[in-house]
Amino acid sequence: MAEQLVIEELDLQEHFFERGWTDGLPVVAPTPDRVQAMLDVVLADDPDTLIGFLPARGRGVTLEKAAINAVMAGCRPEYFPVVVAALEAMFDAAFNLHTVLTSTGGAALCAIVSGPLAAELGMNARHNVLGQGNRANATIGRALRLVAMNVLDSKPGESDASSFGHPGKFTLCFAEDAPPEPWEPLRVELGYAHEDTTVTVLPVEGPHQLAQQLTDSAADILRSFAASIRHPAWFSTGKGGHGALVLGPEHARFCAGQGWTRAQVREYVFEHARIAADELQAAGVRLEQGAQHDMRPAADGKLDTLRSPDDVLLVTAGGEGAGWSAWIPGWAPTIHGYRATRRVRPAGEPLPECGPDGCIVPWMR
Amino acid sequence: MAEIVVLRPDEPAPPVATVELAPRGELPERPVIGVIANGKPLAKELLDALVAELAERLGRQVDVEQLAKPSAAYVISAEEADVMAVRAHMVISGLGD
Repeated sequence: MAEQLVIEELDLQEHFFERGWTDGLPVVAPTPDRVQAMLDVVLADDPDTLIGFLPARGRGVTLEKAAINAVMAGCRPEYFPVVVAALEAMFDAAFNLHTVLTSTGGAALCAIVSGPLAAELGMNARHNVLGQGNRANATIGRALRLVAMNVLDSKPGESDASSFGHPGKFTLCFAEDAPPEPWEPLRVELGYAHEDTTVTVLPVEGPHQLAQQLTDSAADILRSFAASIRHPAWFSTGKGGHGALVLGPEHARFCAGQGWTRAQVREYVFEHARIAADELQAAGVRLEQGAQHDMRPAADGKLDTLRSPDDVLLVTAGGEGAGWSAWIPGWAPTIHGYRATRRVRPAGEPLPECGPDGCIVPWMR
Repeated sequence: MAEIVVLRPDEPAPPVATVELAPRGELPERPVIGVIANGKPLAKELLDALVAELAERLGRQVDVEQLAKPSAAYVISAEEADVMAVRAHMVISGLGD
């Protein structure tokens, strides 16, 4: 059980700032009753139940610590199942949480929610989807970062060695908007049921907004996006990366309406994001060889910017306008870390049994 | 002023594991130096230069046992560490950016 602190109420914010327990913004006081309300939603009989454990740090996240930080982030209790599922996904070995939280590359913890629960929670999937103004989006994402800072000790300048970081490290969480017919939603593409709600987490750089406003040609739209994805100064260019392509409503409608399947979009973007070794070198990029990134070009002289078509996570979101989409690049090539997805358990569904040591995650491949 | 009860959000630092130092013995006439390149560009070249410097300071020829990680994001496996410990008399294992 977490230690109880008795603090003068007016001193609470300063106390939390001084202890390094915030992300730089004020927090909601994690009182026992507020924390218990979170735990009640997930029917936590034992608040010390481990969501996951990082052997590299000797630290684990319990339901109670997650709930405390979710309260501090401003979450309503009904958001907590999404927070728990996102944390479970972050502990997936493929995500490589220890390195994601440590790297100089400064990764944000991007969470994408697909399914009916998103609307029930009032999550935003449309205008300003990657911006401010929606409580569920803002606080679910913020809770993940506070857990990382407070429970997993990921503190800037210490075990968080981000050279720059970016604003998404405060919070980066949003909902998928229903895709245009006949496309299936993201969760179905990932193998889940329509009625499920899933959360997919990705370690990411900052989002890049993409404009295509003078054409309705799906091929032209996607080719221009791929050109942005293969930017020479992006860390993963030519090294086999991944990311989320967030198609705005106009662009998604053009693609689906012109008969493109989701798989065809991903394959087209993958292919056109490949880059000629000569183009990279002309831009001043040195090609790694004999090191972790094998940048020997294929027979056609090109390198893969994305590891495979499957590494384009295709999401529909955003509001109508002149024609905008966004690319959210993975923070590093897939050999260093990758996305992970978990189903959000509805309120009342118990945690899976992970054994007496909790869901200990191997941190080596 | 009113007082408020709150729950502590962080985790105390876990206890630091204690390890026993390997016995320090005399190096053989031709020691084996283990190097673990972390996968970053020029890591191997830097370690080669370090080994050459060590050989010069030791005043003898050395053999090198090399291990290159496929990704700087992961540590070597326990099995790889055991093999390195058996084969090498000293190991250079830490390398940053």
